[in-house]
Amino acid sequence: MKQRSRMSRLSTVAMIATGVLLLGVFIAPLWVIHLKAPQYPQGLGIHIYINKIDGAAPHDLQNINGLNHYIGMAAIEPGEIPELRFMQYFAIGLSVLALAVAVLRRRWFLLTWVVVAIALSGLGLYDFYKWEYNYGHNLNPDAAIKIEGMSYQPPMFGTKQLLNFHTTAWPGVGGALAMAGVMLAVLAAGYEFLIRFRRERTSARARSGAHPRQAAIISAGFFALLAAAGCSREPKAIAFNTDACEYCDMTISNDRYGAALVTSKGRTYKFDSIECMVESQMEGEELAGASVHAHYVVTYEFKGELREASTATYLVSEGMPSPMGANITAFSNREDAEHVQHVKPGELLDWEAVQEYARNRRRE
Amino acid sequence: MKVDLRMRKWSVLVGVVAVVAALSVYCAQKPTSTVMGSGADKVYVAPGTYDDFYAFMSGGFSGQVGVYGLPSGRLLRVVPVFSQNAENAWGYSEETKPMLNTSYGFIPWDDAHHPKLSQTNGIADGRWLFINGNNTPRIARLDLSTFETDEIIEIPNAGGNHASPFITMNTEYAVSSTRFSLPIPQKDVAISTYAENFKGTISFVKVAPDGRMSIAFQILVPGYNYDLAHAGKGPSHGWSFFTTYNTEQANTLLEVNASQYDKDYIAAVNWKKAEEYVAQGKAKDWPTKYYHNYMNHETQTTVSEVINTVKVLSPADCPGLVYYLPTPKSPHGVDVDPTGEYIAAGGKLATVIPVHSFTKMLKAIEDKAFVGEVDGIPVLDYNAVMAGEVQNPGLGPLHTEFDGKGFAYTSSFISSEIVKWNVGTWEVVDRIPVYYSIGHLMVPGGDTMKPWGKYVVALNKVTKDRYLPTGPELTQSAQLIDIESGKMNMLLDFPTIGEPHYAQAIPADIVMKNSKKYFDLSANKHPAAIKSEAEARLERKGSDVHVYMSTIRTHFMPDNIEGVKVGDTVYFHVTNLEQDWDVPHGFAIIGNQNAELLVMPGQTRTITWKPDREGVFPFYCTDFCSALHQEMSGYVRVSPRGSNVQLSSNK
Repeated sequence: MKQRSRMSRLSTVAMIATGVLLLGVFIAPLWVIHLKAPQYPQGLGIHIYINKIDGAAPHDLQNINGLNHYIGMAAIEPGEIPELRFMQYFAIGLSVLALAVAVLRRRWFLLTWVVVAIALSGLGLYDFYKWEYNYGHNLNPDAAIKIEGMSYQPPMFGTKQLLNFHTTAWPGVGGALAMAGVMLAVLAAGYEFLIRFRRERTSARARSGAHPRQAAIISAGFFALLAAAGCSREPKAIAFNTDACEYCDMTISNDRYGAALVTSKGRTYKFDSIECMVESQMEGEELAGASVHAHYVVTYEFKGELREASTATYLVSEGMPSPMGANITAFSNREDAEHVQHVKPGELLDWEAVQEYARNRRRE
Repeated sequence: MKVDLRMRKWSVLVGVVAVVAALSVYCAQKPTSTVMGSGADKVYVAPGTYDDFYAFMSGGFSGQVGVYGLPSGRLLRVVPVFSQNAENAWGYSEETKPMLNTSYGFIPWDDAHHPKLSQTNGIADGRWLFINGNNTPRIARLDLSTFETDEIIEIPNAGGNHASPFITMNTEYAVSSTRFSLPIPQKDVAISTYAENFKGTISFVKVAPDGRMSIAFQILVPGYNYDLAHAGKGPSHGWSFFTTYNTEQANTLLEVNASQYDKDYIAAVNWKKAEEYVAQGKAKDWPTKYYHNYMNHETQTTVSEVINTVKVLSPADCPGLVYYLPTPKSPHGVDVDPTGEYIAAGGKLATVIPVHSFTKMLKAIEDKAFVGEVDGIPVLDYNAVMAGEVQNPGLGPLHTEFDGKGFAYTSSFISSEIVKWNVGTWEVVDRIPVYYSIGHLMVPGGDTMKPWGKYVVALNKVTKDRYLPTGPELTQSAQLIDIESGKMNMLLDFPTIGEPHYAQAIPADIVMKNSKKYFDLSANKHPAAIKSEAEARLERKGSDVHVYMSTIRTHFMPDNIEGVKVGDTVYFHVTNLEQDWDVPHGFAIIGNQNAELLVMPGQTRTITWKPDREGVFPFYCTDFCSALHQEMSGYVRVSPRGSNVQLSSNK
């Protein structure tokens, strides 16, 4: 159990669950497309399984094909879609491999599985998108109804109006189960590598590692957050001499100065100085409806790099002029700041205090 | 009994006070509503919402059944039954023509009077609707999953099948009796020999669990006019009751000559006893001839059988089979209350509604309280069987239905009103005029063991000034009356097809959940069906040309046909390949001395055409099926006799 590179029991159970969840694609549809029109108040539906395509009700597929011939769309003939023949083997393979991961309990194997599964899922979705694209765009030129510029590609997620049909697509129960399975494996991998592996590496020094269950919750929470956001909240690097300050519009050129904020939606706003960033927020600059997620600053020691603003120490010294004249310089290490302070006398402030200082300066 | 009576009076009084109080509160709250009291709010069914009840009303002389929604009165559909219907080729298509076969040949019409829903344990179950054909005696059964006529059986040895079908409480039997007595078997005799030569029959038609009908036996009865019927239920299950008039046995000017006697009879038939006698071999096999026509669901084609014998029981040989209950005066309706105990008769010329007690009847039989005998049928003492008489019931009381809350509603034809009376005290508690000349009336479930109540529907023969005039022939109509609030309240008039002779109603959810959306094409075993366009073809057999044609939105296959010759008979076998709800296709060809076809999804129907001239003749789809419906058409080329144009198509 304590042996290095062995997976924890928790991750093992997770991988067994993953293996089972993946088999859900054989009992429920991967994807569901629902069509509603005035003439079809109950709607028509397409259920895409791993190995077949069915109507939601008997004859729905026939009726959809019948209606689509008017606009020149090809009939969906499940027998002519090769993916329906071979995709199932990938699902079975992934399921068997997930169980193999659970039996062998090797971390590298787990990680490999996750990478392969994500790659295959991505490929599958891309293939599905391409199929939908062709289905909606390759129209018979002899169709009875032709509308210039109109194509009929069904949506993948969400809703689209296609002539008289209100078309909605979502993953089906089978697809959701498979996604949940892959997500579980990702969580397991995250737990193994980000929490357990690190802890073990430092276990000699560690006073006491996080309780495994706590760690699991933390890692689950972290991944859930990541999944919910659906995008990274790391700041984008400042391209010096290219990017302009969001607030004063001047080109950001001094790579020992500079700041950035990342919004809750993951967008980065860049500034040429700390004072510009603070002032922009005082004026309530538009952040496209998002709130500030985190502030970043360029520190004196690490040219051009953005570091979390709250971890830095700030020297306010007339001997160290900053781009917009507030004389604020950020340091990653307090020792460095104190060292410079000896040479260029001034005041050392933390992130809260330096913001207050910048705001007061602005008010004056 | 007296205490009980007083209690009821008190409860009625309390009820009336409560209703008045409730109304005054309601009126005080909503003094300005113009809709108040008009009932509009009670019959308004908003667009896109469903009615609470299906009502099945006979079309009377139209021969069909009208399906309405209640409370809106909206006509939902007309189901063709006994009359040819060129609109959808009922009785014209090769598959449905045999349904109208009788021993008299093909009969294109009948007079449809009494719809009756099938029952389980005395409660309407929504599987089938039975209805009688009055003129050429028949009973039809409609399948309520398709709303199509599924079966018609002819009743031999009968003239005027009026007291029919009045099924028993588990749909064991539908009944039939002869309204006009006849020489049985038929023979050429002087009409004035009525009394010696004419006989009546009462028939019991067995209904199998799948609905299939067969005549189990007939009972030979004295030559009276047998008018209406109802089956017993609960304690009286096993008995059926039939009214008679013309016990005078008049054969001319019946309106006077058959109205002389003070009392006629209700015939009480113990059909469980009859089953025993049949099992004992007491029934004689009489030669006869009648047709039994039913839809074969696999081939979607009517099977027409001829049957040449019927079992006949004679009451004289079968003691205890039939009793006569004297009933004043030319009784019409005979209605059994939900408990099965009371049998109310509509003495159409009587001044009272006599109500018999089933318990008293059994006691009278046991005590042999007989006052006479007719052809071996004991006549019971009126006073020994009578439970009470409703006084002042209006003029010409005809029919009674029940609300399950202890009240009965009787239609009075001459005074044109509905009279509400208390079952047990026999007191009239309410009355409401109807417009005009009501025949039957109907409470949903009002002739079963579980009335759903809520409304009484008046089925009126005469409308006079009630609607915009339409020349000499005016619509007949139904009127919806609220009976929930205690006092009858007129809600709605609505016109009906033909004559709304009698009706049945049932909560919508019981029927709608079984409603078929289309026929399964893969289960279509019609010999001329094609399952795909690839199977479409032409065949010549002598001068008969068979076109095996498909329809699907939006074309016929084939749609160009050549090689037909003048004098040929062309059979268009049209299969609708659609498997979608509400997508019928039609087929009509110019100059066809026949009907158009309507073909439901998954169905095959055949119509014939006899081209009598050369040329090229268009055909097209008649049922608007898609945006390109107008394009759904084709041509048949007709060449002269002896032409060498080969039979061919674009397929």
